[in-house]
Order: sequence, then C-alpha cells, then structure tokens
Amino acid sequence: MQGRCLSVILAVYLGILVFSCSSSSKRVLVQPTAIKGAEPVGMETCLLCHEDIVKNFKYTAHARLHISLDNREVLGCESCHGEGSLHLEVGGGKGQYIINPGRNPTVCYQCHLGVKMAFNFQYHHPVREGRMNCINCHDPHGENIYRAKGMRIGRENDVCMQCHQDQTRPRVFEHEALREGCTICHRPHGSINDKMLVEKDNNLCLKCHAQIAIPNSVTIGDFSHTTRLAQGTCWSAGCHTAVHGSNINPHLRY
Amino acid sequence: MNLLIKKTSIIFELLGAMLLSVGLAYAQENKEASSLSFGLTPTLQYRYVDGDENKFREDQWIQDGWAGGVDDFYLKKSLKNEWILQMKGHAIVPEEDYEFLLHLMKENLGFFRAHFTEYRKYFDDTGGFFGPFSIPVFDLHKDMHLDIGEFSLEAGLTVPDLPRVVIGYERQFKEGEKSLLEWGSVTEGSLTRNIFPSFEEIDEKEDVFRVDIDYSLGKVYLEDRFRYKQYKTHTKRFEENQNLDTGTSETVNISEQYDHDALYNTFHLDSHITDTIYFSFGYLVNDLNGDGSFNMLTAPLGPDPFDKNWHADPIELDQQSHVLNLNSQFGPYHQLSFHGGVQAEVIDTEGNTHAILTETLPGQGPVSPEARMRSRTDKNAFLETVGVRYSGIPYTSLYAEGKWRQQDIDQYEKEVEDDITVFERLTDTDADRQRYTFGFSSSPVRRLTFSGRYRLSDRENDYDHKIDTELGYSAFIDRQDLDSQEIQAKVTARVITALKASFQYERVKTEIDTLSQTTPPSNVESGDYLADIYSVGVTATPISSLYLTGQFSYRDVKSESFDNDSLSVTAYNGDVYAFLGTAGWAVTKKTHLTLEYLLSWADNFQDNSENGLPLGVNNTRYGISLSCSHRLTDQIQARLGYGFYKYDEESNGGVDDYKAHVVRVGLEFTF
Repeated sequence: MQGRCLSVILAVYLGILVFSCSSSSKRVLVQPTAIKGAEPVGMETCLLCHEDIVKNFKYTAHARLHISLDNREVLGCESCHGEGSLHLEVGGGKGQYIINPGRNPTVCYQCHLGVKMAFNFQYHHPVREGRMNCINCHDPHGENIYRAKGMRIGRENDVCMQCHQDQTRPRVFEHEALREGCTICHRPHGSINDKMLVEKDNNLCLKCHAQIAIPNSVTIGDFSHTTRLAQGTCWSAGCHTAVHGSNINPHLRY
Repeated sequence: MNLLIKKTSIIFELLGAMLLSVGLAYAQENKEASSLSFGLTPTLQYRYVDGDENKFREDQWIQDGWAGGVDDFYLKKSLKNEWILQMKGHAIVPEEDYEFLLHLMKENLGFFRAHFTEYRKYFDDTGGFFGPFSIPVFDLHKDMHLDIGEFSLEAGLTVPDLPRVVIGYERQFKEGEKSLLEWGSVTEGSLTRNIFPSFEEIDEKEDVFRVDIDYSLGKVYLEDRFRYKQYKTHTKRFEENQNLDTGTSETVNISEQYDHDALYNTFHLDSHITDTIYFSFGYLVNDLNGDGSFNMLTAPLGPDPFDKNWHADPIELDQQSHVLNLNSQFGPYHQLSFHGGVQAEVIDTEGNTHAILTETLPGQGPVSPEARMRSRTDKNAFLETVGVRYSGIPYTSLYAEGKWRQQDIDQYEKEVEDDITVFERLTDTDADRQRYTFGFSSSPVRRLTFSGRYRLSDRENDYDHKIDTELGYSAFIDRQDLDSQEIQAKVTARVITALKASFQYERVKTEIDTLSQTTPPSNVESGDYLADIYSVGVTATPISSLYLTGQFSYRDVKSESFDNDSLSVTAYNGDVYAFLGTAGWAVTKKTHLTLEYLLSWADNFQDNSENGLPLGVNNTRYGISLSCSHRLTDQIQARLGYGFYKYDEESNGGVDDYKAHVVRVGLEFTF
C-alpha cells in the first residue's frame, strides 16, 4: 500500500516535470525561500542599517555555525532573510524584498529538517496551521535561543509558561519532574502521542520512579503498583492525575 | 456567555476601528498625494468527512461542513504628515479563526497597534482501547474544542535620541472543553482497565499590563520590561468509572478555581565596549500571590479507598524570584572568540491549603477530617557558562561550550489532620547539571556544507530526606542520575545550481539511574531512552517555472524502564516514517499550480492486553492537496483547491478512521 502511494507521488512529480520541460522557460516561479531577482550583498551591508542585530549576532547560537567567505556566507543574514540587493535598492523597510522567517517557518525548515517533520506529526504545536511560528518560542537573534517572548532573561519553563500557565503555575505540592523542564515528558515540536508526550504509557513515569522491593513486583514508594499498572497509566483517573503538581495531596492524586 | 459577549464586542470594536481608519485614510486622499495598497481574499470551503469527524477536526485543525469568510485582508495607506496605516487580518466562520491587526505609525515618532487573534483547537473524544472487553472503546459523543486567543493594544514612542517607550495591554484567553488522558476505569469480569475518556471544561484568562523602555546611552544599551499580570482560571474535570457487568457507573467531578496577581520586571544592560569586548547584565524580579479552591465530588461515594469528597478553600500560594546574570564575550582575536557568563537564581515558593477530606475508611465508615497542608520550597541556583569559537581554519567554524548548574533545594511539606500530623517531609536536594557541547560547520567547497554537534549532559540529584514521616511516598528516591548524549550530523550539497540535498542524522541516548530507599538500598538503571532520527531533504528547481521539495524522515525510538520482571510493564518501541512533498509549477504566466503530499505511518503497536493495556500505535495518515491560482485581471486572481485526507488506525479497531474531501474556492482582489 505504502509502495503504491510512493509510486503515485513519483508519477505525479514526473508528470509535472515533463509538462514543465515542454513549456516556456520565461515563466518564473519563485521558491518560498528566495527573492526573485535579488543578489547577495553580505552581512557588512546589513550592518549599515541593522547595527543592533548584526553586532549582537555573533553572540547567538546561530553564529557558531556562521562561515564568512570572500563572496559567500554560510548562515549569515541572507541565509535566512534572502538576498538583500533589492531590499537595499528600495531603501529597506518591513516586507520590502525581505523574507521574514518569523511569519513563515519555511526558511527555518531548510536547516531544521527534523523539526519540520515533527510539526507534521499528529500532535504538534500549530505552526503548520499558521497559528504559531518559531519566534513564539525561540529568539534567533538572541544570546539565548530559548526565551520568553519580549524578555531577555528567564527561568526554567518560562517559555512554555507564556501559553501554558495552568500547567506551569506554582502549586502546594510540586511534581519534581518540572525541575527538569517540560521537555522531560513532552516533545514541543510534535509527537505521535497525544498531548505531545514522549511516551503515552507507564514508561514515561517509571523511568524515574523505580524501586526494588519484592521480585516480579513494580514497587514505587514502598507500595506495590503491579496490579495497578496492569490497569493503565500512572495518571489514570483516581490515581496520580495531578501530573503538574497538586494543591491537595503530596502523592499528586487529583 | 459573558466571554462570548465580550469577544463579540471586541470584534465589533476592532471592525469599527478598522472601518473608521479606512474612512480617515480615504479622507486624506484629496489633501495630498498618497499611496494605497489593498487586498481582499474572500473564500468558501466545504469539508466532507466520511468516518470519525472528531478525529478529523483534531487532526486537521478544521471542522467539517461549510466554512467561509475572508482568507486574507490587508490595507496599507500613507496618510497626511508621513503617517502610515496598515491593517490586515482574516476571519473564517464558523470555526472562530480570526485575526485583525491595525497598525498606525510614523517613523521617528511613534505607533499605535491593536491586534486580535483567535483560533480553535479541536479534541477527539475517544478514550483508550482494550480488545478483550465486549465494548473495547468508548467515546463521549462530544464536540470538544478550546477557543484560544489574545487581544492587545500597544502604543509606543520612537523618537530618535529619546528612550523608546511602549505601553501595552494584553488579554489572553482559553475557553471551552478539552480531552484528558486521565481515563476512568472500565470493569468487566475480573478485568479492570482505565480506558474511559474524560474531559475538562476550561475558562482561563490573563490580563497583562506592560511597559517596555529601551534606551541607548552612548555605547550602553538599556532595556526594561515591566509586566503586571492577573491570571484567572476555572476548570471542571469530568471522570467516569464504568462496570460493564452491573451497568453501574461512578462519576468524579473536580472543580478548581485559581487566580494570581504577578509582577515581573526585567532589566537588561549591554555594551560593545570595543569591537572585541562585549558584556551584558540582566536582572529579573518576580512576585506572585495566588489563591484558589478545590472541590471533588464522587457519586456515589463508596468504600473504595479512591472514593473521595474533598473540599479545599482557601489554597494560598506565594512565589518570589530573583534572577541575576552577567555575560561577556571577547574576540575575535586571531579568529578566536570566548564567551562566558554566570547566573544566580533564587526562587522561594510557599503554599497553604485548608481542606475537609471526606472519605470512607475501612471499618470506620465516612470520616471528614479537617486538614491543613503547608509547603515551602526554596531553590537557589548558580549557573556558569564558558564557550569558545574558532574560525581560523579555512571555510570552517569550530565551537565548544560548557554549562554548569549547581542547585540547592530545601523542600518542606506538612499535612495535619484534626491536629494530628499525618505527613511531614523535609528534603534537602543538591542538583548538579553539566552540559558540554562540541560542534563544527565547514564548507570546504562551494557546493558542500558539513556540520556536526556532540552534546553530553549529566544531571545528578542527591536527596537528603532529613524528615520523612511516611514510609515510601513521596520521599523514596535518594539519588538520581540522568546522563544524556546527543549526536547530530548534517551534510548539505548543492549538487548543481538547481538541486540541493540535505541529509541529517540525530541520535539521542539517555540513561537514568535511580537509588531508592529500600533495605538494602536499591540502585537500578530505571530508564533507558534511545532515539535515532534520519532526515533527508531535497529541493529542485529543474526549470525556472517549477520547484520541487521533498523530505523524508524515519524515527526509531526505544524507551525502556525498570520492570523488575513484571509483565505489566513493556518497553516502548516507536517506529515512525514521514514523507512530505511539495511542488510548485507556473503553468503559464497567469496560472500556478501547487501540490502538497503528506504521508506518515507509525508501526509500533504492541498488544499487551493479557497483562496490561496495549502500547503504541499502528496508523497511517495521508494528505494530498492541489491548488490552482489563475490571474483573471491585474487586480483579480482566482484560487481553487482540493484536498483529500485519510486516517487509518488499526490499533484501536478503526474507530478513529476517516476519509475527508476539502474543496476551497477564493478570489483575491488587489488594488
């Protein structure tokens, strides 16, 4: 079945290719990551107007991979924002012959292939649907690529807290897993598991909650959970549902 | 209802403001020469679903049936005295997908911005699956969705040589129902499995008042961000346990209310002292005061130890945070740059709960003790970062970074029931984190780029339980080590100008060792996680009128936890394949075609029904969409699109399967 589907894709691609080859080459279709007719100008030119961003760029995570050569750059300004000659000609300005990856993640996907595929998994943040974008959680020009929107400094989980207040707010009895960060249980870009969980079964909890007491028994907190685990997940109704912390029970029930 | 009225009024206010602005904009026309650009794309869509509509909605983030509205709207106009007005947005009904933006600005003076956005997130109402039951899967017959959005107003002064000041108000909201994974139990014969779906009603809002100030004083850049936040949430959880033999059920309703006021302020200062010396300083202070209530009602309240009628009011929470950091960078000196930084964090949290805990105790009947719970957690952390980057090797950049974090956490918890201490815990935790990263990027020839990264993370948590009155939970772990290694390698080749290909490999391996309190103490490898991810991407532009992109990804994930030879715990194996292809073709100067294809399949279902619940999933998702745009005149473009989506899941008996056809038509007017 899957082989048949792949054959169909290939056939459609080849079909388009054949039709295209027989058509006029004067028709130009610009890729979403390119600017029609523009030429590279180099980072030094960007510095003339965008001094604050370019000067700080060398302190960013992206700058670590930057290679500046005589006539080309790897991971410079134009790698993400498109070639700048036309932008320069019209005197700059927002949206003037410039790609804004903050609105369209296609540029980010050029390098972050795995992330692009994760956003296409069944459970994902709605980046593919256009309701979020990469800069909601990441600061590509910042010293810290993980930062809360508009803030330069933050604590663990502050990025997630922007939208998920209920899950990250303080509680009387804390679940210590939150100290390791939300990503200890969730895959923020996408997962095949509901709620973007790393795993949707007991392995998620048992990785940390383990104890040997009685052979062939899963003992946690000096209590045998063997029969309970057969029923379902640790966070099932009636058990440890308060996975983000509880205000009423130190065992994170309810 | 109130929220609906408020939202409607916000929409009308914004529409009014937009229309007013349009009127104002046009009123300027005769007074001076002005430029206007305007675009509007009305759309109409129909989605036909054969199968599980709820799953389709959750999967595709759209609902079935008719939908329509304005797919895209924008207006840009130059006004008198160099003011510029910009408006844009979209509105699709009935699925509450809106965005309106109004932006009025004058360079070197200031701006005003109003923004409203809302979208709907859908949830499937199906619970778990257990094949041996006479009813293997349940659903709630509910159309669950959350309306998520925000409304903001911002005004700013951007006068050169003066501080840039922005004052704003923002409301974020979530309202509706969402599914939960806290499934209720279903019993048939001697078997009980937790598969009955549950859900939660949510009414959450946050008001944020903000002031941002930025100022450059010579070589020093200063920035202050102030936030005052009022957060309110009211949630109701609905859980149900069913007995298929007797036909009886037990319901558990949990209602929680919580609100807090929080003040945040961050101050940032940085300076490029010379071309090779940079430093920055930051300070965050946060004060949060919250209170709430909790009500849990089990009906009927039986003798089961899990049956509770708990009521808590008030619940009080206070948190203070101080975060201070200092970062610097030196270089490049002979292509060598160094960076380093330190950060100190103090986070103190205090919580108090007063509760009446009604439950049935074996041999005693119903009891309702008055409980007072108290917790205090003081976290002190210190972080250090040191890094180096070298670009002296031709066409190559090398970097290395080390991060360390030492954290001391004092955690005190106590519960008193009818003046008797039933639980008391004082734990002093030392948490040490180390993370080392090494990487490179190289482009030895024009058409080839290599990059790679290796990261080693080590996290150690040592727990010293100074007071622990309860055997076992919750203070039963003495030490935990989490070691993680990540490898990422990537090669990108522009084979010819028209063909670019990338290959990326990632491996993540995490091992968790846990030492817990038993006699003798048990030290086990409690978790082992391994993920291998292969991604391939190709972009081709064989001719100027055609581009083709394709990505393929394969993920092989294995996760194993300590099972002590118990059959109810099974290792998770997750194989996931995904392909995504896009083609764009300019058939003529006026006609463009776009084709998108998505195929993903997971093949990791493990039927462990005999000893527990099945794990993993076997499913296939397809999506193909073809869209055509044709320019009718210089100002009008017609759009037509068709999409076919299919979901098959063998592992839950096919209850979520669907096939869907989506047809879209639209006209784009630009002036």
